[in-house]
Amino acid sequence: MGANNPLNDAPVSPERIACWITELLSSNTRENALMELSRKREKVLDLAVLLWHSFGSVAVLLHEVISVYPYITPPTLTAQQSNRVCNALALLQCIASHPETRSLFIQANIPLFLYPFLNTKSSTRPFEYLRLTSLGVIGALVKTDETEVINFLLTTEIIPLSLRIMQSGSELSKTVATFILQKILADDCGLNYICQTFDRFSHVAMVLGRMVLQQQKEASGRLLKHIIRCYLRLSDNPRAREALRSCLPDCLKDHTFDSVLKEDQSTKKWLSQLLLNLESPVAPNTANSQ
Amino acid sequence: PTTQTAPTITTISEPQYRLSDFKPSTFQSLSAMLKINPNLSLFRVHPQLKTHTYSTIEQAINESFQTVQRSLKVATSAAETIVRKDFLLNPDEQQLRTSARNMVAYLSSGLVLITARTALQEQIQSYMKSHFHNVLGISQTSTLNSNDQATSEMIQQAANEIATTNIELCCCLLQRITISRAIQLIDQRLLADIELRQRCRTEGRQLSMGNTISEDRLPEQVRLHYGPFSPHQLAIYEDFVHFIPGFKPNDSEKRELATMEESVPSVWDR
Repeated sequence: MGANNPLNDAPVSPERIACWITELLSSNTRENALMELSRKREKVLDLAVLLWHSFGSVAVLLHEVISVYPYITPPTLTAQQSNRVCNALALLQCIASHPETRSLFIQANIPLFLYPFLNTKSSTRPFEYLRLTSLGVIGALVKTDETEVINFLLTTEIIPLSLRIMQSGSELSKTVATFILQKILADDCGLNYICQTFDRFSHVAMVLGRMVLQQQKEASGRLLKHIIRCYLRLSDNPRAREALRSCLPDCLKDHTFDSVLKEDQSTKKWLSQLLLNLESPVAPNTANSQ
Repeated sequence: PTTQTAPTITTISEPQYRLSDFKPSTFQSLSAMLKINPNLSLFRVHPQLKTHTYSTIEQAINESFQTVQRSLKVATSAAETIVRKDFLLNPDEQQLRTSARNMVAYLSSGLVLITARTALQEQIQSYMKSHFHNVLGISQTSTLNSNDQATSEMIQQAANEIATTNIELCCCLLQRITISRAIQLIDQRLLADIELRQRCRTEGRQLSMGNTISEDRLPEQVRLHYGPFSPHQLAIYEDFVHFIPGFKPNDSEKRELATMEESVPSVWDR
C-alpha cells in the first residue's frame, strides 16, 4: 500500500494521531489523513477506540465506502479510488479487530456495506485489491472466534459470497475466504447452520472439492491448510461425516500432497485425523491419533 | 471526480437527475420524465400500447420496493448507531434529526443503487413484455403463428429499449421512495432521543447521557464536547445529502430533507 516510508518505524505521537483524525472531517485533508492513519494503524494501540468514539470518523469512513458504489457497476473504479477506499477499509478493519469496538461495529451493520465489493467480478487490480481488503475486514471479525460475530454473519449472505470467491478469486482472496469459512465452521452454530440442509452442505463440499482438485495442479500450503481444516471440522457433524465418506476427493486420501505438507506437521496431523474420522463408522470422535 | 493518469476506458456517465427532481410521495414526476421512443415499431403498429407503459413501469417499481426492505433496515440501523454516538453530548435535536436524515438518505440510496438496479431493469422489462402480450392477447409461452411471432418480437424489442433508456430514471425514483421511507424510520428510531432533548430544554437542564468511554482515553482534540456542533463539524453530515449516489450533486437537497414533513403522507406505506 503506497511507498515505504523510511520513518515508518518511528513512534507516532498521540497528538499527531488526533490531528489526522480531525483532518478526516475536511474533504481537502481527508485523503491524506486516511493514508497516514492506515499506515500507522499497527503502531497505535487504541486507534480503533479513538476512531469509534471521536466525532464523525466512522461516518466519514462509511461515506468513503459508499462514495465508490457508482463505480462498481459498470466497473470503472480507478487505482487511485481503490487505494483511497482501501485505506478507509483498513481503518474499519482496525475497528473490527478491537475487542472494545467489535460489537459496535456489528451493531452498526457496517460489514454489510462491504458486501457489494465482495460481489464484484472484475479482475482488474483496483477490484482485486478492493475485494481482498474487504475480505480482510471480515477475516479480522471472525479471527477472534466470537459467537456474536458468527451469529451476525449467519444472518447475512457471507457464506455464498465467500464460496464464490473461493472458486474464482486470486490465490490470496481464496485463502482469506476459506479462512472465513473455516472460522464460521469452527463455531457450533456455524457448523449446524451449514450442515442443516443437504443443499448447504453439498454447496460447501462441492466448492472445497473443486479447490482440492485445483490444488493438484498448483498447490499452496496455506490454502490447503484451510481447506483441510474446513473438512476436518465438517467431519465433526455426523451427517456431514457420512456424506464426506463418499465425496472427499481421492487425492486427499492418497499421498498426493505429501510434499506440500512436508514442513507442516499440524496440517498433516489434521489430515490424518480427518481420514480417521471418516473411517470410524458409528463411533463419535474418540479415535486415537496415529 | 478524481484525476486519472492512466488512459482507461471510462464509460461512466454523469448522473442526470437531482434528488429534487422527484416528489417524495407520488409518481407524478415519472410520467412526465419517462423517455419513450415514439418510433418503436411496436408503437407504430399498436399506438394504444403507449398509454400502458407508464402504469406498467410504476407497477414494476412498486414491486421492487419490496426487495429493498433489507437495504432500508441495514441503513437505518447503521445511521441510528452512528448518529446516536456522535450526538451523545449534543443537546440540539434539530441538528441530530437533520444529520440522521441526511445520513440515512445517503446510506439507503447507495445500497439501493448497488443492489437493486439490475433487478429493477429486468423487472421493468419482464412486466412490460407480459403486459403488452396480455393486452394484445398473444401467448408468451405457446408457439405462435408468424404474425403473432413478429408482434412478440416487436414487444421484446420495445420492452428492452424502454427498460434500458429509463433505468436510471426508474432507479432514481426507487431510491427516492426508499429515502422517504428511511427518513420516516430513522425519525421513529430517534424519537426518544429527540424528546429527551426537548424535555431537557423546557426543564432548563443539561442533557446528561452516560458517556460510554472514559474521557482520558481520548485526546482533547477528538473528544466529544457538550453543546451544538459547529458548521465545520456538521458539514460531514451535510455532505451525505449533497453527494447522494446516483444523483447529481445539489445544494438545495439539504434544505429539502431537513424540512421534509414529519410523516410524509405516503402511498408507500403498506
